[in-house]
Amino acid sequence: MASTAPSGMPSSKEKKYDRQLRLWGADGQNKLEASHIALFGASAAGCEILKNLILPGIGRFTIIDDKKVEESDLGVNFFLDDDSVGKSRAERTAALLGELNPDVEGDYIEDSFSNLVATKPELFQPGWTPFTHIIVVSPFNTDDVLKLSPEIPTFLVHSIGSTAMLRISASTRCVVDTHPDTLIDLRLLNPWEELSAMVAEKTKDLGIAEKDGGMSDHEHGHVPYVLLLLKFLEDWKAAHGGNPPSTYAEKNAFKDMIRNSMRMDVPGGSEENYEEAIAAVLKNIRAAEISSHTKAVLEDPRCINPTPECETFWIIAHAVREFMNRDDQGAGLLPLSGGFPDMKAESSTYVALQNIYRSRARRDATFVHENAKAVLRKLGRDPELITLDEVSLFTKHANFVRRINYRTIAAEYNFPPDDFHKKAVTSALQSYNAEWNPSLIYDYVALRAWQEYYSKIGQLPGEDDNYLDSDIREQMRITAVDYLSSIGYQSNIDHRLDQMLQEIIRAGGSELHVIASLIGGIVAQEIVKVITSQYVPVNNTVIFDGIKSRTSVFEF
Amino acid sequence: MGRDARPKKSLGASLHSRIKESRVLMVGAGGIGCELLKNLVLTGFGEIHLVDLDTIDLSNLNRQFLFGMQHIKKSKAIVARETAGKFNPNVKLEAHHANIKDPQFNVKWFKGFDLVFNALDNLDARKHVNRMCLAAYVPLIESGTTGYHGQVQVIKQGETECYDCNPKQVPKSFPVCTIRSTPSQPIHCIVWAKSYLFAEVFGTSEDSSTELDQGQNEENAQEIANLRREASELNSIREKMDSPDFAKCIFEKVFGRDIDRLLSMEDMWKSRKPPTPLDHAKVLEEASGIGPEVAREDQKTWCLAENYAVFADSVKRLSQRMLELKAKAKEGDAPPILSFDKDDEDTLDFVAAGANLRSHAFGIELKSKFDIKQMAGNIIPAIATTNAITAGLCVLQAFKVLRNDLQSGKMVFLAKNSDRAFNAEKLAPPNPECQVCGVARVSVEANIAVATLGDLIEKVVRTELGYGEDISVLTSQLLYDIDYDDNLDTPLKELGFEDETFVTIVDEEEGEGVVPRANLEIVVTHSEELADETITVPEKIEIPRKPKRSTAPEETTGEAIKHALEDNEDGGVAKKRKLNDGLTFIEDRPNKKRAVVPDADADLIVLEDDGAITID
Ligand SMILES: [Zn+2]
Repeated sequence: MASTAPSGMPSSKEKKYDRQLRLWGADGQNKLEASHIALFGASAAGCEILKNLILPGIGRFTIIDDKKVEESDLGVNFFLDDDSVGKSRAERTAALLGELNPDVEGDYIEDSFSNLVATKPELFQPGWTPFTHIIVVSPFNTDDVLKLSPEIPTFLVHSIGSTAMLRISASTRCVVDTHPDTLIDLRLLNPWEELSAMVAEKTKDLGIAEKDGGMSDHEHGHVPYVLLLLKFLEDWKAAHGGNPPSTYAEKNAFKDMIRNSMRMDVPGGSEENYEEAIAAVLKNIRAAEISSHTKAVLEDPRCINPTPECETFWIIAHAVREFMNRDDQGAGLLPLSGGFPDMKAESSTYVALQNIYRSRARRDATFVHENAKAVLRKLGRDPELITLDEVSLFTKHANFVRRINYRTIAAEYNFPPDDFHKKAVTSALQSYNAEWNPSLIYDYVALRAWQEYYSKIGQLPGEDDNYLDSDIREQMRITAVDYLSSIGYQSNIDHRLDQMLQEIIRAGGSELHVIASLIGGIVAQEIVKVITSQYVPVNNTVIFDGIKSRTSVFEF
Repeated sequence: MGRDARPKKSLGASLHSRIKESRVLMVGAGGIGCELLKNLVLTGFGEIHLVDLDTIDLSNLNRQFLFGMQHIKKSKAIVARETAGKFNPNVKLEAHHANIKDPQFNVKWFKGFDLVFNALDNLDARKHVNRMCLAAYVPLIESGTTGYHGQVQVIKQGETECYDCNPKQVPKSFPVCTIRSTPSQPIHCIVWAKSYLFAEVFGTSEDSSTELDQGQNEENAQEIANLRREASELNSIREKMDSPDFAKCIFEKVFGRDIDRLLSMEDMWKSRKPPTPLDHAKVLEEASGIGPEVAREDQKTWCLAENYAVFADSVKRLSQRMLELKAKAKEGDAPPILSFDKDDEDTLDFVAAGANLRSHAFGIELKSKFDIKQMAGNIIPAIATTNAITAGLCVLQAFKVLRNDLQSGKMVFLAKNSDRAFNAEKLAPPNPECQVCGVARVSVEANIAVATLGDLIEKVVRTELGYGEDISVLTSQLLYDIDYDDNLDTPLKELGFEDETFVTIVDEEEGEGVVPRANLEIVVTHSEELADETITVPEKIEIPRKPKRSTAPEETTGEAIKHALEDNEDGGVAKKRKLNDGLTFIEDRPNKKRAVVPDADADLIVLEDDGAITID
């Protein structure tokens, strides 16, 4: 009967993915495994992006490329070997990348992006396309990417010499699990009945010496700092017309008030719980504020008027809004997160206090859940569609949820440019300073000129040695200046633009492996965020400068 | 266009040829290492040496792409060389399946490289390579990642901060009484199950474990003695391993009788919630019908009965393994033991269930097996993307070093923040108070079997270098000071000297107007050729005086910095580091003992390795 076979063995897949499951959990992993990624352009950067997605286990990938492998490809692309020269680049990279993870299915199409966009539009149509996410790596024609649907998450990538850029376009992303640094919310200025009762019980003898029947040093040194803060707040308010300390000076005076009631004649000369209370004053004595991101969600028309088709995110957001508006529920406050910090305390007191926060959070989530069911019913949807677990995840993150409305690629390339774009680029140019604000805005302008040159002429700037670099530079400079005047920027142009033009022309469209690898990491990271709906993806452009090891993020 | 054409065009001919001629060392072939090696090979670095002691594990494969299923249990260094080598026939690759601390990798060997990359996963090895590179005057690119965070730093003796210029977070340890008598958090019970319960029943017993802070005082001496006795009782339960009642024996002892004994110490529970012993018969009955397959549900928090089922089943599995080992052992072999490994399901199940049963008795929150694995195994989340970015940044910094352009070298921090992918900072100058890089250096040769400590002190330190009477001499231990001259006539070898040994001389001269010398690090290399006690000193060097101590700022400065940070939570890693810098001044005066020995034991306290930055 005795068997040594380990009965608790998880699947080998779980073991293989153990280190990443700790970042995005089983839910994130399931979403990864359900994805089908299309890569247009089997360049080094393209292959590095896919490598970083195949390793953690996306479901499928398809590589689309019409080129044959050249010897010079071997010097930059790790996923091509000597035997590949002369063969289809799509086929060879799909084969070598496929070897990285037997759980991922790989496929390839030997064709060009331009041709497929023109001849197989169904491949790019929401509802028809097999692809869940599309990566397009330069060089590509601007006109071709403008034909892509803004509904399908799309990642445009440039990797030219030492410079790289990523542009994300997608339908609105709603992220609940944003992984903020902390979910702790103590609500010190809005205590509720159970909490106040505990304060009264645990602090009633706080000011009385032991010899007079008060607390022993041990008890006094173990009153959790949250209870101390609440107790001293009551005292402060009583002496200040009911107002809590609000200015910096008042908060300092409040700290002194706490410090003055600390017992000093104890081992070490001070009490850790009091020190914790003092340290927590600045951060925690503040009115419960709603973050701008959460406000944006709650004010969104999709939240105010959810529809029978909308995502559950908007139903729950609506339910939260109702929770806040109702005096018998949140009465103006967001649902409580339930997050609670470690602190010096007796374990039984700690657990009791933690439970007060947890049950409050549970109470709030239950209200929101009831509200959500009512909305579902009203919309004629299944009232059980949304579980309490889903609601709890939302209410736990209520102050950290995000709604990202991505601008379309078409909006960025509109001619004449729209006001948003004009303003975004102009203000970045105006605030540029080579010394103290060396943003990568000129890199963007140079890359735009590069993109236009390629789309117009069909050749990579600097690729053909028959043209003088200086002539091409002149031509691209004119393109860049035209672009700048189209957005209404007439002021002075920094030397950085010429530097950048020179850099990208010198590269002649060539990739550098290390830059391709680095941008491959950055792009794959953003794709994973978008697929898993966890963490906050970039909105919408990130540029990398390999010479200075710098990045800039812009919304264009 | 040939293979080289594109890199040459993008990098420029001069940097490209410098890269081709360079000889570099890469320490660590894990997550960052795989990426780095690929980058180095494709960038065309002329000669690359890699050193790694590890073998390949299944859980590496989600990011360490040079390895496949067929490579599990093979050497990382060797497989990495084979896989990556195919991609550029022009690169010379050499792999060492070895520990970087081995004596063959001495200062002279380090001097043979233009550049060293650290892609390591532990504090101890990092500190070691840092020190070797400083002593060899070879630039070091240090890197690490954890989850979405990463860091890259360029280090060069005399020009930049070294790895030890900023104090590193010391791993946490727990007082033995918290673990054994008065746990209050899940982690206390997990440490108990792993370092005590598992070790006593299946592994090596407690005295050799370092996870517990054994530091004792008068007050708890009595309790420590009790705990010792308890441990040896548990250890002797091993004898019943072949009995079907083995799980019951352990259970009744540690969750029954031992807890009863704790309860009898009334003083202990005056202000704490007392534990409740578990009743074996009752738990057994509740657990009937629960099969061992519950152990597979690792994300769920098991109830008491489920924990019992896993406990009993894992005891059965582990006993069986022990009995098989015993049966195979030959006469004279040391008795077999098992050791805890987070990836060994049998040991993990035992620790997870054991920890939860104890938590139950003490009214502490139970944890899922998944969480316990992370806490017991010191698991650091790791993904391909962060490694790719970090390794790429390492190579870009390497370009600066090869161009001799350290001025534009950077310290780069990666964060999960979506506003910017990373922050780059100018490299900071060395911390003049750093006890690792802020030292003068000299190398000597001696026959350590003949030359004595007295020879070293008299001939080199006093005569050649002009030190006075009041000095301290240390290796990993104090060898000599003005009140301790017992070792003067002892040959160096008997004092633990090896082929290459670092000795620190601390000038203790004090008094009006006397500024002591900076600490001196002597590298003593053993030479068989020296027949007598001669010690060769290459040239006379001037030992600089200690930098003037910065006066400790008033305490309020520390407070002010703290507040600035609290009020600006978006400060990011960079700011936090500055905060640390600011606060180092407030520390005590450098302690000479701490100075020399980067606390070797610290690493053995496994719970929270090296805080912020750790790679894999
Ligand atoms: Zn240093």
